[in-house]
This record gives sequence, structure tokens and C-alpha cells, in this order.
Amino acid sequence: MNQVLTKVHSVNLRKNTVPINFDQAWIHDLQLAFSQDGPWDNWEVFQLAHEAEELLQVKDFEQLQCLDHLPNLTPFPHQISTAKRVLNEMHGRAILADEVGLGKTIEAGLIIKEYLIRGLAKKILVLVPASLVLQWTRELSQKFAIPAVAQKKEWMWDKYDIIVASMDTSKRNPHRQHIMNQHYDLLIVDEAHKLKNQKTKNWEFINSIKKKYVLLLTATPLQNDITELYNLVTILKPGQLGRYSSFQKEHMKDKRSPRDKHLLQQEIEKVMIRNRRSDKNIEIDFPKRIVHTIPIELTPDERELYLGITNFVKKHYYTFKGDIQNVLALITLQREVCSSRDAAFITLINMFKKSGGSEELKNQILKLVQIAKKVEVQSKANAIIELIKKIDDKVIIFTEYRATQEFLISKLTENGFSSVPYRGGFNRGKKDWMMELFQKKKQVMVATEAGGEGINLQFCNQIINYDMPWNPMRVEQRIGRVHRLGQERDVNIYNLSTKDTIEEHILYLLHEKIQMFENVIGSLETILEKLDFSEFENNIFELIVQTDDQNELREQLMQVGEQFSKEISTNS
Amino acid sequence: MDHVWVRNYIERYLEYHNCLFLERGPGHTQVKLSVEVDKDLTNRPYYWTFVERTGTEPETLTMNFIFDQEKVDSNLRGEVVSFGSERLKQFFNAAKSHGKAVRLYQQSTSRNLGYNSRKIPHATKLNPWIGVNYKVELLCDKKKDLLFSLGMNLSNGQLQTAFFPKLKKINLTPVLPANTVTSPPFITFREAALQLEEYLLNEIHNQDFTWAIAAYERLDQEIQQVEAYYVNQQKQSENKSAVFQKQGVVDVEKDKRVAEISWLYSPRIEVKPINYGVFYLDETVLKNVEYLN
Repeated sequence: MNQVLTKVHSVNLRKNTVPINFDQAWIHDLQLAFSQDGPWDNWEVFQLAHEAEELLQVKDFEQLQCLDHLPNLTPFPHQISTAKRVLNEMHGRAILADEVGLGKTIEAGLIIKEYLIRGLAKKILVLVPASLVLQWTRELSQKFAIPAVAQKKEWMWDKYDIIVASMDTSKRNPHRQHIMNQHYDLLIVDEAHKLKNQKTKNWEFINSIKKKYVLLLTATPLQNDITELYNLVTILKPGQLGRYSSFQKEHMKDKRSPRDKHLLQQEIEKVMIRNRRSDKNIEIDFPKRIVHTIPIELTPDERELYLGITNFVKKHYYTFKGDIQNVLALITLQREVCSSRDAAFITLINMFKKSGGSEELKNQILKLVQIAKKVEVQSKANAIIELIKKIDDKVIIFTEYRATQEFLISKLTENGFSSVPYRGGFNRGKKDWMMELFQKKKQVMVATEAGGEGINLQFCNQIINYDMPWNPMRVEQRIGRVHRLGQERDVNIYNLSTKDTIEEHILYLLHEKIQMFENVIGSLETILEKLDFSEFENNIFELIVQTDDQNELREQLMQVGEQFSKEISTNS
Repeated sequence: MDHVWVRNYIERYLEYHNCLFLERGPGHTQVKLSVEVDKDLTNRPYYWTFVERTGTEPETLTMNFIFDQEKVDSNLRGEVVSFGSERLKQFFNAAKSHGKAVRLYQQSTSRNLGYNSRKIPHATKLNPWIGVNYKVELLCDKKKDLLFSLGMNLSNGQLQTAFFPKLKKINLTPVLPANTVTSPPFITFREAALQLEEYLLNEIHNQDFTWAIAAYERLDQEIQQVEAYYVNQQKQSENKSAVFQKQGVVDVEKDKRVAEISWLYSPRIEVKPINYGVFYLDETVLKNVEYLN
């Protein structure tokens, strides 16, 4: 029984040989079946076997094999070509920096799947913001049939090959130790712009992980700070851009500007892919934003409260100026009074409790409390009921204040509308559950938390801004939950604006001016992220307090608006 | 388009394995599995051992396969099968294992027969052929497949390419038809296989090998990176003078990594049969195959 089960030949190339292996075990099997007159297989099934092979045939080297293995997904052409470039040209080490809304997660999923199918990756780690862990795990599993697991317990690090984990948890012990002990075939880092500084713990952590292939995902353009870029590239290819000192000499004029933009661009393109919405090959049809301003007329009682509070605030701004806590309370109060009586009420009570010895202050606050109690009809709330009736579809209402949120939910219930709350304080599980309820059962979601990622509401296209944040970034984040990739309809944004109040000024001058800018998904969010709003609210507040004349106030605010418009165009 | 293909494939598989079709809707099929298919698909090895041991009547599962979710009632509970799903892979694997080796005879038609002087039909004479569907895999960190379907006449050594598509046009039966004789093979299976392999070798040599040259270059780059990494690690641990890894340990690990990379990236070619069989055909059928059907 001395069978030759395989036979080896080879092809000679100039420097190497390519071995050819012939599987010959079948010959014996055939002889046996023939001499024993069976058992033989069914001809039809024989054909089915061949058809399966024909279907699964990989016809060219550059082809993405994984495309045949995606149960519920048809990727866009730009996503497929990105995956191919990363695999074929960049050998699995790349920065994916698509503009928001083009589907970086999908691109990452394609690359992961392809490496899995080719047997080039087995142990895979995906590090993302904590709020996105479940979402990533779900997407990889449902869209790509990738057996990814969300890291929860310590023993999971060694047991599972494909893990999605929170970056913050992972970089601390005991988790860190487990990660350092592994050799990962593929590491994916979402929100990689957090790695832009070599001196941070994040950078050092990622750099120390043993990895073969790396994908860094980020939405920021990275063209504004070359050092940031250098730091990211160094993670991918230590030594690719040379030592920092020589890189600096060769490529940089100063921190922000390169010597030769084209040359640098060329270097960058070797490791980074950035698709832009304006590219010709992007086939995605982005829906529009339609903004409606709903002016609200305050009742006499509401007007009395507004004026009372505004005067109070102006009066005490200078008294409290040294005391940050109290100034903040004033700012909040001024904004809350445009949102709901309930919100203002609670702040007033708190102020009262903290007012210390001052009798006069206590009395003033009490007076305001009395005025607040008188307010029965809340105009905004009534307007919103009418609005929702008219919309007759799923709606998200955003408000800054929890008191307003609770008030709205009971008001909605009174009027027969089903609703769910959504707050930053909810844990992941509850957030997911509220989202599911909203999607499947309830008509309205009343949300205070919008900044958190992980809330995807593309199935809804109606937003009501019950009150307006003064920070345009916050507004953009709200809208971005709905106006994003996956949204199929034009998005309607209803801004409630109380007439002859500061809210009206803010709304018209700042938000609508900035909104007019680009009507495309998400680009504003990325740009706004880069602008510094930390002093913004304080500056606006000071303007309000200092300027009695309404016209002059408008002028001043307009200038602020102009300034930001300019900053946006430089940064886009 | 895809669901049409998937549905057609799965339904044929189930039919050829004698499953019972209970319901067929525009987007789904409900079927009671046969014993064989149940064993293959449903992963109930304990149940089947139990059946064997106790001699009970086996109860096979009924499954609802959904091919086009949009055409299915939302109340219907079933399993969606599409490209990429595990279930479809299962069907493919089952087909490959149950469709490996066949022996078939050309079905006689009255056209073939001639009559002798006593008006008794001549027996049809069939020659044995071996047919093999080959998959040639060009492998490195990427891959490409070449499919070949080859046949060889075991009476005279005649080689036929694109064998299988031709066979599909012939009426074939697993049972020796009446009034038919077969000639014994003149060439052994092994000798024929060697000839087919020679053919393939030739085809392979005619291929473009830039893919392999590029793969070797990538392999070199990868190894260089690994080497650089370990040199770097060594430097770092020297600098830290804390835990100093013994040179031997580092080398072992490095060698392991280099071996892994070499295995993954090194170009190689694998020639495997997908399936194969013995086919008894008359002398002219392959020439005339264009005119059949």
C-alpha cells in the first residue's frame, strides 16, 4: 500500500521557486470504489458540488473574496475600493479618514472580513469609545457575520479571538496586561485622533500593542497639524517618516504648514485614505435639512417671569462675577426661562438654598418663585402638541434641561402621545432599550443627551429643538443623530423660538447663520469640533448683560456670528 | 437575482435527497428533512445516536427557509438563507461531500442502434472515460483559483478539456442500460491521472507569475519589519535595564513570527480535485455533443 498521496513539482522564478502540490489521494479512493462497485454518489449532487466551487471561485488576486460572504450588506463602490487599497497597496496598515457619513465602519468591516477569509488574521482587537462598543459588535456580527464579542469580563481577553473593547477600560490594568501579552493580527482603533500626541497615555498604549495590521479610524482631516499626522503614521509604520527631527526639517515650515504641500501629500497618501463627500465616485444621495422656525408668543404671565428673571440676572451678574458657581447659575437661569417654567423654578429654589445670609437676595428670589408659580399655560408646550399632531410621524424633542424633559413627558402623556426619555445618565443597556422602544413602539423621544455617540436615529426625520443650546456644536450634534448615513428622507428641524427674548436673538443670528453654510451631512460637526467654544457661552452672556439696547445687542451678536462663519470656512 | 440562485440551489439539494416539500411561497420554502439531510444540517448527534440505540422511529425536523424576506409574511418564522450565511455554506459542504465520485453510463437512444440481419439491435458499446474537475489554487497572502475540467478516454488516451460542460448535455444514468456492453479500461486510473496532471503542469507553467514575484517581495518586506521590530525591542529593554529578556527567548519568538509570515506569504500552488468519476460513453457522442438537446 505504498501510495504516493501528493506529488510536488515547482516553477522556477529567477530568484525563488514556487512549489506545486498535487493532491493524489483521490486516485486510490476512485480505484477502491471502482473495484467494489460502489458506493457511488448522485450525479445531481455531483453537479451541485461543482456549481458551489464555480460560485466560490476567486477569479483574480485583487478581488475581495469577502464580498460573497456578506449576508445583509451591499457596500458602496468607494467602500470597496478603499478596502482593496488598504489590502493591496497599504498592506493592512492605514489611516481611514473619510469625512463623516461615508461609512468608515463598513470599510473597516470589509477589511476585517477579508483578512479573516484569507486566513491572514485570527486574533483581532477593536478599540472604540465605550458608548460604541455594543454598536460595533452588533454591526460586525450582523452585517459581516464576524464573530465579534463585546469585552465585559477579564477572562474574555484570552478566550475570544475577536474582541471589541472600550479604549478607556483597555488601557488600564488588569486589562492592559492581558492585551500586552497577546500578539494581535489586526488592531482597529476608532476615534484615532485621540492618538495625535505622542506624550499621551493613549498613544503610548496603542504603540506598545503587538500587532501585525493596524487600522486607525478618524473623521478629522489632520491637515492642520502635521505633528499630529506624524504621530499617527508612526504608529502604523515606525520609521516610515523617519525620525521626527529629520521629518521636521524636511517637511515642515512651522507647526502647521508644510514646506511642500504636494510632497507631503504624496507621503500621506501612502498611508491614509480620505474620501470626501464631494468626490465624484461617491454615489450616496444625501438628504437635505429643512429648517422651520416656530415663533412662540409668551403669555403675559410668562412674559412677567422672563422679564423678572432677566432683570435679576443683569442686576446680580456683577455682584456674582467673582463667584463662578453663581455666575453659571445665572446663565443657566437666563436660558432655562426660555425653556420651561419648571426648569427655572428648580434653579431658583437651589439659588434660594445657597443664598446664605442675604435677606434681600432671598426676597428677590422668592418674588420670582411667586411669579413662576403663577404661570399656568406654557406656550411652548402647547405649540409642541399642535406641532406633533401636524407632523404625525416619529419625532425627537431635544431639550437641555431634565426638568423640562420630565414636564414634556407628562404633557405628552396627557395629550395621548406615547414617549420615551433619553438621558446621558442612562447606562448602555438602558440607552439601547429606549432606542429600541422608540424605534418599534413609541412616537416621541424626549432627549437631553445628544452629544453621546452611539445613538443612531436615522429612521426618524423630525427633530424639534425645544430650547436652543447656545453652542452651535451642540446643535449640530443633535441634528447629526438623525441627519447621517442611513437617513433616507429629508430631515425636518423645528426650532421653537420665544419672541422678544434672548433665545430669538441666539437662534436667528447664530444658528441660522451657521446652518446656512453647508447643507451636507455632518461636515459641520467635524469642523465645529475643531473650533474653540469654551469661552463662547460666557462671552455671549456678558454681551447680554452689558447691552441694554436690543438693537445694539443684535449688532454684537451678529458680529460674533460673522466671526464664526469665517472660522468655519477656513477650517473646511 | 441572488435569491433566485440560492433558492434554486437549495431546493435541488433537498429534492435530490428526498426531502418532503410542505409549502412553497414566493419568498420561502417549508420542507421536512430526510434523515440524511437532517443529520448533515441540524447538528443533533446525540439524537441520532439515541435513535440507533433504541431503534425508535426517527423524527426529522421541518425547516422554513426564507430566500426573499420582502416577499414573506412578517409572521413567518424561519431562517433567512442568502449569500454569506452559514447555512448556505453548510449546503455547499454537504454537496461537496455527497457529490464526490460518480460512475455513469451514457443512456442509449434508438439513434445509436443499428440492426443486424435478423433485426436484433446491436449492443451499444461504451468506452470508459475518467473525468476530473480540478481546482488549481495560486496562493500567497492573496489567492486566485483556476478551474479545469478534464477527461481522458481510458481506451486510447485521448484527452478532453472542458469535459464537464459536455457531460452535462449527455443523458447519463447510474445503471448499466439494457443491451449495452462496456469495454474494460486500457489505461489505469493512476496512469490517466498522471497524464491529466502533466496537462495541468503545462497550463500552470504558461501562467503569468508576476503575482509570485510580488509576493516574495512582500515577504521580504514583512520579514525586514519583524527583524527591525525585534531589534528595537531589544534596544528598548536594554535601555530600561529592568527585565532583560534573554537573547534566546527573543530569538525563539522572532523565529516563530518569521516562520508564520513565511508560511502565509510564500507563493505556492495547490492542485486538488473537486470531484471525479468514471463515465462510459460511446465513440461519437463527444464529437456530436453540440447537437444534443
